[in-house]
Amino acid sequence: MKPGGWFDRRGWSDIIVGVPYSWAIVFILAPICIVTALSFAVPVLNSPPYQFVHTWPFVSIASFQRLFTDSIYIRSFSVSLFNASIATVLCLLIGYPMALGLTRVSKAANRVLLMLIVLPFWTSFLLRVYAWIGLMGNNSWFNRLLTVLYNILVPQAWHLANIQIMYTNFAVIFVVVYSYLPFMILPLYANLEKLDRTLDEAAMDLGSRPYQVFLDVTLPLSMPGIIAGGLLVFIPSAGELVIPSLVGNMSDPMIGAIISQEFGLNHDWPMAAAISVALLFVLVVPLMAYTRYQSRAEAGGAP
Amino acid sequence: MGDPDRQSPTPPGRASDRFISVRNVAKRFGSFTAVDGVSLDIGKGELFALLGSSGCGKTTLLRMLAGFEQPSSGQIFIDGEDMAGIAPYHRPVNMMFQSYALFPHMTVEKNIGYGLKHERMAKSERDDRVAAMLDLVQLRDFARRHPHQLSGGQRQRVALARALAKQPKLLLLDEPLGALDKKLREQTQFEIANIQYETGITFVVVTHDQEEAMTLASRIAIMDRGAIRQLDTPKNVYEFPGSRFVASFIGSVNLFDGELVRIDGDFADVAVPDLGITLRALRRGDLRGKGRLTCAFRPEKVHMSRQKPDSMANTIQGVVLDFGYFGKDSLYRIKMATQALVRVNATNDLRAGDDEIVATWEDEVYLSIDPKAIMIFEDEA
Repeated sequence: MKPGGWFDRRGWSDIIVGVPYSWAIVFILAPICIVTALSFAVPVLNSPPYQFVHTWPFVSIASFQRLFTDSIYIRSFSVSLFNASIATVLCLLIGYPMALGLTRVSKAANRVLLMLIVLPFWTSFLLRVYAWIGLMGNNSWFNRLLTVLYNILVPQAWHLANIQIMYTNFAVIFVVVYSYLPFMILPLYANLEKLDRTLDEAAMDLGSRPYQVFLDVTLPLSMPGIIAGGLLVFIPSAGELVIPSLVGNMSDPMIGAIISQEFGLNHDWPMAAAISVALLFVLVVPLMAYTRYQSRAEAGGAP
Repeated sequence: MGDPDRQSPTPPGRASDRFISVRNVAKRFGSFTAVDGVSLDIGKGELFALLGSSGCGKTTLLRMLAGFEQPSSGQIFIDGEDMAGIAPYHRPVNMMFQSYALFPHMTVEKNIGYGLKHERMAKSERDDRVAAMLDLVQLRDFARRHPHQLSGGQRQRVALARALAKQPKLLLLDEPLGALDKKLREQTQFEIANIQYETGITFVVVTHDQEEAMTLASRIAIMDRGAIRQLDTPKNVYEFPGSRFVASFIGSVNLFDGELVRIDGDFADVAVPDLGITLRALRRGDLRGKGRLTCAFRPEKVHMSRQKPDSMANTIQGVVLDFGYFGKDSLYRIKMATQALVRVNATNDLRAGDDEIVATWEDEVYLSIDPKAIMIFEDEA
């Protein structure tokens, strides 16, 4: 290639920028387009089990109509969002003090504690969920211990033989919180660790007690970390399939189970695609709010 | 320390006020002693400077005044009140941080008003105070900006206004000009001094920059290895340093080893082998007997000429080795017959061409030093 040609001038930068773009187009944008197209088809008893309408306007919104009329979809959507919201809030309440603690301990302790937070990832996710199934079951020592404690605390009339944890929404939220907690702690820790501790001293010097320093300085400045951690927990837990199908109440399913059912059992690909598109919209809204907040924060002053 | 014979002028803030009193304070971190038994008194309304190189303990002392560190031993009194165990948020002390530590998520207004937020105070009164502070530092038009939208000098002024807003009894300034460029520094120095005068608040400035300390402060404490080496007015610290350390720490100085030959009334004759002559110096009151001494004189106190001076004491002949031209003055290095080097500062008070400057390379010159300009120190470790 002659010098001064495309490659010499901007070849490398084009390639470096091009790789992630190609990746995003092939593996993110294209599948989304395919799924969106599918959601406007109609199901048929054939292979593949869908067909596009041959007459104008060439699309069918039957699947979307069902989405808004059949109560099972609305119900499972709200169960999913409810579970994901509660799990996110719980992760935040548990994870924030842990992340803050990580920034205040010695370097050696910090390394060990971070290791302990990441350590569960080294064992299989399914194994960990099964371990919880074992613990939560009605005849486990864990359940019996909880039952004894419960019976001590409440009057005789309310006593139970055991506490039903398995196959409840509580179990789903519990295991989701357990599984996703590191995704809350790590971005929060990365954010809190960057904060200038002199700001805390400045606030204290200006008359703020430690809890006021936290509310006035630490908390607002850790907002980007809270939002990042919140999204990392909320989005995957809203679409969670494995945990509810293992420990959840199958008569009150989450949206992931419904999508899986439509694709697999019912062979209704357009319906499954329509739910996926709807879910995408529900989850993209908070993501867009986040980007908006970030760009506003950059213009407004928060780091 | 200093010359007991000398009548020292009364500094603007009188130490006898004892508004702030540091009594034998020490701070140890493990086996390291950061501050080693410091005692000093600072008068009300004084602008006091703690000067020292990094690691001398000045910042630790400042942090103990602010309440971020507790002394390992000793006591600190502010306006008669013992500060032991009093948290930073209960002290009548505010601090301007070296990094300014402005809250990035708050506007200039909110930053300045932050200290008043947790005080019981009517909103209108608080707003008035913030407005007054904005006027004081001339940032009224910038009230709604965020710190990252300000220049370094503006940020510095916000930090100052924020620390002053609570009207503390004591204001601590940690390297207040450290982050500013040279031009802005000069201007800000005067601004800080003016604001101090207007508000009447006691200021304690920590700095490693002697020029900053000299222009700002009414008194300077020079710290080294956790202890105060000298505490005096800027002029006395420079003209009458109490030790070889202080003489060489403040400004530049020519130092030579010597031996006391005799004491002649108010004068002392000191043999200086490196210069090949006996220097006559003003006798220090506490100078007694014979022994090894250090002779010191500042480069600008040396008179240099190409003609032999008529009858001046302490005249030495040398050759110009090299010189640096700084505009308003030049620094010469003169080589003596003994190969020793003497630094001489000469003011370029004439608008001169090459042929008119005082001396140039290889010129033979005569150096003469007024006996009153020569400092003598008994040797220390």
